[in-house]
Amino acid sequence: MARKASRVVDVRQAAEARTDVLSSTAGTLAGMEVTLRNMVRATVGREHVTIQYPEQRKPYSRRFRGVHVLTHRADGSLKCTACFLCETVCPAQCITIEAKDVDDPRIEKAPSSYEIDLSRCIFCGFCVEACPEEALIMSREYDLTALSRGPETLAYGIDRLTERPEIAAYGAGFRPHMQYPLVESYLPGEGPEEAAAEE
Amino acid sequence: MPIVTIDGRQIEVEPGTSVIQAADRLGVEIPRFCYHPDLRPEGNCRMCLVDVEGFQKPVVACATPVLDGMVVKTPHESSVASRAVNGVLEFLLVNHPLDCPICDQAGECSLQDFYMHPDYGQHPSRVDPVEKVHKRKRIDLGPRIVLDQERCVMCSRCVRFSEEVSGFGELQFVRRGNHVELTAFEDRALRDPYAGNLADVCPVGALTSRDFRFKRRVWHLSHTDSICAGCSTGCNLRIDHFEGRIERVVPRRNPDVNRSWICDEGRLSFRRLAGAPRLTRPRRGDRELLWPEAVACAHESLQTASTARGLPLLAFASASATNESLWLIRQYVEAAFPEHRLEFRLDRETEAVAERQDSLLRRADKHPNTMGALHLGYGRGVGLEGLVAMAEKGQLGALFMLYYPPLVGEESEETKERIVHLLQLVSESVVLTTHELPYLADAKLLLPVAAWSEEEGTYTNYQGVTQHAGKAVSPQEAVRPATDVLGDLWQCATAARRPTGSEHLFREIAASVPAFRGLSYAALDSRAATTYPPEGRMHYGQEGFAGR
Amino acid sequence: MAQLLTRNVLDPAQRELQTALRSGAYLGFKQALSLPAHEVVAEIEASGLRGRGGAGFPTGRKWSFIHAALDQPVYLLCNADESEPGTFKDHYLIERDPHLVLEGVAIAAYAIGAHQAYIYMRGEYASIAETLARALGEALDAQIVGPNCMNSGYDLRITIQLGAGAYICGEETGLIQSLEGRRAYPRVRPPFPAVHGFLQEPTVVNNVETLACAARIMAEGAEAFKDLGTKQSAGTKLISVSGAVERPGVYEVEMGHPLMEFLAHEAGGVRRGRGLKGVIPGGTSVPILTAEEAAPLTIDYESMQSAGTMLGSGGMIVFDEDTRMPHALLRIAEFYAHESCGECTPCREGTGWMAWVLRRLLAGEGRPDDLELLLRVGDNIEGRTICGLGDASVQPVRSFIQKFRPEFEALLPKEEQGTLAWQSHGHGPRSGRFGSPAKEAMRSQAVDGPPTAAL
Repeated sequence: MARKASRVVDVRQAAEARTDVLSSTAGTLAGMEVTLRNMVRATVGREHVTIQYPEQRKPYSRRFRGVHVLTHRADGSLKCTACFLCETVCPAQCITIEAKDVDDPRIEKAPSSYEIDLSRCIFCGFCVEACPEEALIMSREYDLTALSRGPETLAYGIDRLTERPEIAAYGAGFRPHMQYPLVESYLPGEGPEEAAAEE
Repeated sequence: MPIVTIDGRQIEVEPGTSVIQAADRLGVEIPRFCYHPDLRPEGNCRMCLVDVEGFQKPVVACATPVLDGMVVKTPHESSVASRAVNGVLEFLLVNHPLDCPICDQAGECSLQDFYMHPDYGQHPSRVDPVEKVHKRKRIDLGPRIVLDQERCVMCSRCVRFSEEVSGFGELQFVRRGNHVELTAFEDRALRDPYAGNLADVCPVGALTSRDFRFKRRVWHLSHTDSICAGCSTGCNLRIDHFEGRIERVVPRRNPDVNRSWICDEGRLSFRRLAGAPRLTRPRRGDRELLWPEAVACAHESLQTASTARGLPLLAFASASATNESLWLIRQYVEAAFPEHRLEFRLDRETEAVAERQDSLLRRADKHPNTMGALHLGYGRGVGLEGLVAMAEKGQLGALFMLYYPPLVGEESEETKERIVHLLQLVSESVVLTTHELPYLADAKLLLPVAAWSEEEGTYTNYQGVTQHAGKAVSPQEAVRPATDVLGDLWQCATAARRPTGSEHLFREIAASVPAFRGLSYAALDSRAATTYPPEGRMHYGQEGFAGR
Repeated sequence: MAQLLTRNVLDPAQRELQTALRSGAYLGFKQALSLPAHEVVAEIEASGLRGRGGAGFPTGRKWSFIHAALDQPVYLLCNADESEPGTFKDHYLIERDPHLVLEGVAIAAYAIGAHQAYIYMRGEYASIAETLARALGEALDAQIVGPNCMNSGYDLRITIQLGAGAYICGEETGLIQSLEGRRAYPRVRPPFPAVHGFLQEPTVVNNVETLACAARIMAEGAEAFKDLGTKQSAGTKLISVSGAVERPGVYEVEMGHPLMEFLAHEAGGVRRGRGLKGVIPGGTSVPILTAEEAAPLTIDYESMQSAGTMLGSGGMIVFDEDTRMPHALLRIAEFYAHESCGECTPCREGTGWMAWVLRRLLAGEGRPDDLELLLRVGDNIEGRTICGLGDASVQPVRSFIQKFRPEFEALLPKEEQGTLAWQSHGHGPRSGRFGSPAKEAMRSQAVDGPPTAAL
């Protein structure tokens, strides 16, 4: 309690203090402490805090919420069962799914089309949290660019959500239960053996 | 009459009423799977167990008749009943597959709903998924129904529906214990023309509709109460739609009209609307018109052809039109054409309206509003055949027609020929219709109007019951409701504006047509009952996403 | 040893009408026909006869419930679907003295005003159905039953119907459904069969032995019957004893006969001189008795009730000291899981669940809380089902576990394996999507109490 009380600012004192030029300069310098420190480090110590993007890139957190990935089963079929939970939960309403009957007796339902309009996506990760199957996870791909706003550029369908070179380059990102390995879900180019080797 | 107390609330009911009926009337919820108000109680699901004072053990509310002075406590009030219901629900889930993500029933599933209720469920599982009994899945039972035996809770609603209601008796249980399976003999396709109801009565996802299969999750759907326009029964139904597209149609319960059922033809009648190309813009010959121009043109050409030449105008409206449209046509015609005839009969609707097609719901007359047309003064003359004869003699000046193609069945070739003939005979014809129809191609002026489900209105069924059908989706492009167009025409004729909302029009009808006297628009809906299970009563999870 | 029903069973010629008539068959029916129906009912009521099928409901009272309108048909159904495990007395009676059974059927039908009686026989009893049919043919030819029975003006048609072999067909309303040609799904009561039974008409369903007793009562008088047995349990009882005894078989004992004496003398003692471990006194649907509990009991309704069990159908099963009770219980539980008709939820799912848990327990894959789980599942079945089969399936499970708990506990996983041992059978540490440690803890807690306790 006592400590808290000492932080209360006395307005009158503060107003008087402001007239003190010296103390106000000191305040400015204190405010620039970090800037100044880094300036010294960069000029004297040659320690750069910026990098030469895009030639240089920094690694991002394993929990980074980047562009989505649809995982697949060991036999290569899509893990997604078209339950529509991601579409339901999506606050930006950027996911559009159409479901179909599948002949495979073990699967029954699968998406005939699955589209995420990434130009509307806010990368909140709710869709991934909602997924009961780990069929949709996020990657660490962050530099998403397009040359036009048309739906053909940033509306990713099944093909680009499952296979695109960037996934391997950036690696998997956020999904719930990150403390455990993926269960019977595989990333592009990955089968049961590769997944096991990675662990 | 016995007075029963349920959860501290009293109600007086007729002798023989079951506890669950009394509770439903009080609005006290008792969970149930096997009970259905339009089926014989069976008492097999044991979900409606209630605690009755003076009884040693919980009894099933669905099969226990109310006795005078009975004091009933439901799971909401009694821990005995709550424990019993909890146990039953746990048993039901022991062998239930973890199919919710791919199950079409999810979102309107009694198992889900009850499990989420703190008085009945929310117990942690004591069963490992590997222990479940497996049965056959995705069994094709014909064009309407898909069966999943694993999801079945053996409530036997479907079996009883097919035995007691439709009379086909095509479903039965086989095997015993937790291996009991619902099956149709040799998995044969159901022949029942009411098979679609099986998916409605099924409280879980065992029987699902093939037509609606995987189309949309139910929580995405918006609902609009409507009336089937497939025949003169006027079954109460609910249109479920998503983003302006009708996804399915389910029955609403109305004990006086259709109980809880509709026929499969009516259920799928909405598919007919998209089955043929729609008329999208007013058209005269090959020239597309804008509405103001089209309306003015329609009125003037009719005037010229009829009044100016001193010949009568034939105002023809098919009995699929709403009472409001029929009324407004009459208003318009009476205001503008001193010599006119009002007709609605294409064939033999007036006789057919009294004929049944089967013993359950379907009727021979495939028009929803034959009685309304009769009440509104249509069809008192010589009929279409006589009118064709008049036209042949050059006694008809012009034809004003509001025509809806049938939603169930096809117009007979004879009728089509008659229409074509009539259109060729009259010198001027204005036709308001919904689709591009080859037999209307000879019309001089075609005006696109909204079809069933795209406009609000009332229909009067064969019993004389007037019912309200809501507007579920918006018509496309330049298509307008018939009442709007007619209002504009009326304005052309009288140079005065008038409201064309269906509520206003219905008030006018009720004020001046004897058959409708005393009816109020707002009360039409409350006459009809609700869906079963009652709308919105059993969803404990999040609110629906209907508004998205 | 009092012999009422089994007086003539050793004579193979007793199946023939002439021999049977010489030994006094159909005298009771003749006596009944000379009385108005309500006096027959009164006579049976006075005799104190209680139903021998298992529940022990007073027979005369059951008959007196029939209040039919004049033009309303009434039916008598004889329940010969003897399918309670350990019970084979009716088989014996029909096989050895079919005319006694037919006489009982005729008397009961007359008493309740039925002109049509059905004898519903278990499908596996095809051979004795033939014996019974032959006897019925003889009785018809002799105009004892059929139109104008014994010139009394009373018409009675008796039909023998074979079931297809299902335990549930022995349940009163299941039997009625089966007889109507439906799946033998028991009906919800009320309405009771006495009001809406077979074909929705008033119906009485009686066990074979009950009707045989009724025949003797009419022939020899209610007093003679009442003199036998105890105050609340009049007459004699057929006991079909099986299991670990030297002389298994059907024996008739007077009600009130000491149980130990019966086992020692009639049944010849426990097999090979071993010690007695337990007795199921009346078919598997009644709780088991340990040897100590059984020692002071007598064979009658009230004594059995005082020990918390029931005389039931008299299907006595004896277990010797070498019996492994969990294995015996699994056999019984599997019977109920297999025979549950599947109509109502608790029995359909509960019996299968109990059998599953017992099976894994015996396979060495038990979980620490499995015994509690079995008892809780039993609690959730009992009193919540349409018919008595649900309750019946719980009795053995509960009584076996309560009375022979150490044997069951020995099957549980050892303590050091910890509570989570069983979860390794699932999908590793995550075991589905609910695999967080907190949820698993909730799971284990849930077994300790009814589900509501966890809310």
